[in-house]
Amino acid sequence: MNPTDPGAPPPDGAPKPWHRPQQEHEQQAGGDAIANTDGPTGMGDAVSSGAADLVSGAADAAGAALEGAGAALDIAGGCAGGCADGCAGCSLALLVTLFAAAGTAMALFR
Amino acid sequence: MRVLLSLCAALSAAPFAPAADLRVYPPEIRIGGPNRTQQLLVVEEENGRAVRDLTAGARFTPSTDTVKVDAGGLLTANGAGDFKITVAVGEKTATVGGTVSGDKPGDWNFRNHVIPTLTRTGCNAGACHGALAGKGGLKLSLRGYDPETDWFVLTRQALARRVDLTAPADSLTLKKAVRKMPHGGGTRFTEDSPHYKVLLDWIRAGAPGPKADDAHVERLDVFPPAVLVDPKGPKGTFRAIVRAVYSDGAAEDVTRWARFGSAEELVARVSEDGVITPAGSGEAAITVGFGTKVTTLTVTAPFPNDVKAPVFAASPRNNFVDEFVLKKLQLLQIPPSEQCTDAEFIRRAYLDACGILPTPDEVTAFLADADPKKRARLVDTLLDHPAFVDYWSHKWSDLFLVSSRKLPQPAMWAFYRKLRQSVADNQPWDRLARDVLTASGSSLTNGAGNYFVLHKDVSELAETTSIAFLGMSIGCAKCHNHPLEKWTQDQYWAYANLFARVGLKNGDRAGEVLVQSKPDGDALHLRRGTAMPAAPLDGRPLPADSAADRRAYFADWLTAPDNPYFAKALVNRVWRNYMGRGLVEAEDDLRETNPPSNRALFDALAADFVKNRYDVKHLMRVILNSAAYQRSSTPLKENVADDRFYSRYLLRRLPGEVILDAYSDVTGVPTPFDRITSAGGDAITPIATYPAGTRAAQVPDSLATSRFLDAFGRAERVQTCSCERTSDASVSQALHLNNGHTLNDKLRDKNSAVGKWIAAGLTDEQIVDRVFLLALGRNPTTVEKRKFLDILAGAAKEGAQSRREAVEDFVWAVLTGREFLFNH
Repeated sequence: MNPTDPGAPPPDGAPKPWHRPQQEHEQQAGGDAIANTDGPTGMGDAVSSGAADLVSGAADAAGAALEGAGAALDIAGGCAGGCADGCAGCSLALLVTLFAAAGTAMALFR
Repeated sequence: MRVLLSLCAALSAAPFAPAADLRVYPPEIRIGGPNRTQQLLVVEEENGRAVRDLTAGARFTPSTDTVKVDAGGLLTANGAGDFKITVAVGEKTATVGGTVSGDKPGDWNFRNHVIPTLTRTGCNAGACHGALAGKGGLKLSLRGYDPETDWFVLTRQALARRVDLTAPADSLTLKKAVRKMPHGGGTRFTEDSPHYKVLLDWIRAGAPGPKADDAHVERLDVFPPAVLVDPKGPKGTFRAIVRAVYSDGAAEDVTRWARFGSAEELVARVSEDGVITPAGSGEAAITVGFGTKVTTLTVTAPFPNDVKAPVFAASPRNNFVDEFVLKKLQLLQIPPSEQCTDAEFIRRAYLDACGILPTPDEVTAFLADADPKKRARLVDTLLDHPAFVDYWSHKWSDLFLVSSRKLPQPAMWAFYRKLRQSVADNQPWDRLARDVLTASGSSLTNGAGNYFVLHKDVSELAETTSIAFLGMSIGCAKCHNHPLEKWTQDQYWAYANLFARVGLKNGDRAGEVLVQSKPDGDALHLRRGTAMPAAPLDGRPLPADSAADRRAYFADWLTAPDNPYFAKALVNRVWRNYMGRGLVEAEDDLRETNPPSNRALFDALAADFVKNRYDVKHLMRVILNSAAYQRSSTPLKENVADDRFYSRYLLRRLPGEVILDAYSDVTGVPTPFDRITSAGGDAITPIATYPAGTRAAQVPDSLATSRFLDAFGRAERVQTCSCERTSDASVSQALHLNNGHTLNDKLRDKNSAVGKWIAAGLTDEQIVDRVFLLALGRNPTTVEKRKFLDILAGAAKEGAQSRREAVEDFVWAVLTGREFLFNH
């Protein structure tokens, strides 16, 4: 029998990776599990892929938007804090800037 | 000789046609009205294939004044009515009938005549006004895929100077094309050309635009349908004529507008007017396009061999595959090579079916077995071998892009597990396709759902599905009508709309995505901005208000027994794996203008696959048991030039994974897969996913770090395309084998088989025999053995270390030799 016979169990007795329960893969991946994805309903996709994304296709970008706050929260959760913080942070910053600009304009006007 | 054969056949009462016939094409002439023309073609024909073009020497005699025919065979209509033409060539005569249906000349139609004229003369080509930005201020749609806009551009833009209705000959379009005015594109045609006449007549008629109810081309007929070149006869050319049949029943000669091309320039060339010039031996498809339709004409040019019929009659026929292969070989006069030896067969079959080498014990037992059915028994054993599951799971992982590049690890494993289980269970291919395409729920529970996570964009999903399950690329049609195929932009978006109702949402678990079908959503046509009724390619559209699950509707169409593409796509992939070359090359480039090298065989294999309920192992069993698969790779003098018709087993380099695993097997040192490269390629991190002893074929992640596999062309799994995996030779491969760590470290390893053989006291002769059996599946020849034994004996005189190094060098030499690296 060959030393790496396909049918043979690994020498250390560990199961082949595909024989391990799915939960083990999930635990092993931990919080980084989603790092390699674009995010299943990634907003980036909706913005970047142009005319084709006018469609509510597999990307489901439009769907996510239509589903409203719930979907948005899903996305935020899925992004493990990254883009959620970014969106909220940017929005807040924009608001502050707007108010500040408006205040300055009013002051100048007066 | 042909005349004699014709006479014999005519005298006999046999119910088949004479061996050589005088044929006139088209077989029935239909002309729309006066002044319209039809080129006649007169050929000598054998068994449905034209063997000589006799048009130039033929005499044409019309029965009435309805038509006239010039000496070159160009028929011009004078008035309405039926007619007959008697064609005479020497003593032979033939008659063809026809009808001129109208009594006044018809107008040229913008969609069916003007656009084809612009296409044929290159005006709307990609390099000219068909470019994305147009040229010189004039932008036409590429090859006329958008007639409505083109008509507007030609008649309304540029202050309407392009078409002058009051003085048609002064139209900018005409003056530029004949270069009466400066034109960057040069002279496109002359004033006495038919193209000029078409455009001028159209402008004189008021430059009418395209109408919604214009007749459209339903099919193209090309005559003659096939050409057989006599390799020993005089050199000659063949003219091809093309007839378009419209939806209103009309038909017309469109040769002057048709686009011609040759798929095999080394076998036959074709001019832009459709004149075919044989150039070499083999078979070539002459592709013909007009409007959105394409068709092909086959030119068969037998090799200049004189192979007698008994050679083919005596060649083994193990199943229906051999009938079709031998028939083609006989037509092309290519003799088949002998059957391979048992030693060649066992190594070849193990590598092709399972990606592993047979062990010395298996080789020895197989060679000693006297059962005449031992090859068939071995095939059955291989199809149930554990390594079969590894090998084909890996292959389908290439197809479905399983990797952690876009999927989180848990999702990648779920997808891989789904594919692996499918292979292990020999799940029918239609069931796997349906499972993937209609997957719903958690992507971790139902791994097939990751297919949609990988392809989130609707166009990407549609195009990937087309390549994976239909073996055809339709991406071109996203932006314009497919230039090489019949697919239109409208068809593309109707097809893409089938995938527009897939919803994805994050699940609760790490890496989990929930896949579901949605009740609404459409893919909008890129140009029209509206949704096309969702329809499979060439399939019935789904009613716009239908609540049916579009994915299920597509899966029903895809897996229907009469689907013309689905079974063939898989058959071609499997056939290529075993035979080294697809019936269609590349394996995922199935299209009308890229016909198979043996259409009858392709059809039969696909029909057999469907009949056996898409049983992949059955398909493999048929191929592996065929005499065609079991032929020697050693060429004969007469078939050395053939690499398309399976007269011998085609040599091919082993895939990187197979070589790496074989190195592990021979040296006894497994390859560690303990690191992973980031998707960007800029970082490598350790992983503990793969226990020691994991084989390269068992690693589903294309990001598992391995410079060896990268050098040997493993698929990156970024896009579904057979082109991702390469079998080309490269300098980096040579350097890797010569100086790289992979093989050298295995040989030097303290647990290497080399050390164990020496420690066990094996003699040099035993080592040489063992290595040959392990790596090459055969015993060494006397010369080989003598040569290696001399080297090893010389090294042994200088001490134990020297002997060990010499044995390592000997094993290295065998494992880097061509006989090892190639399947043969």
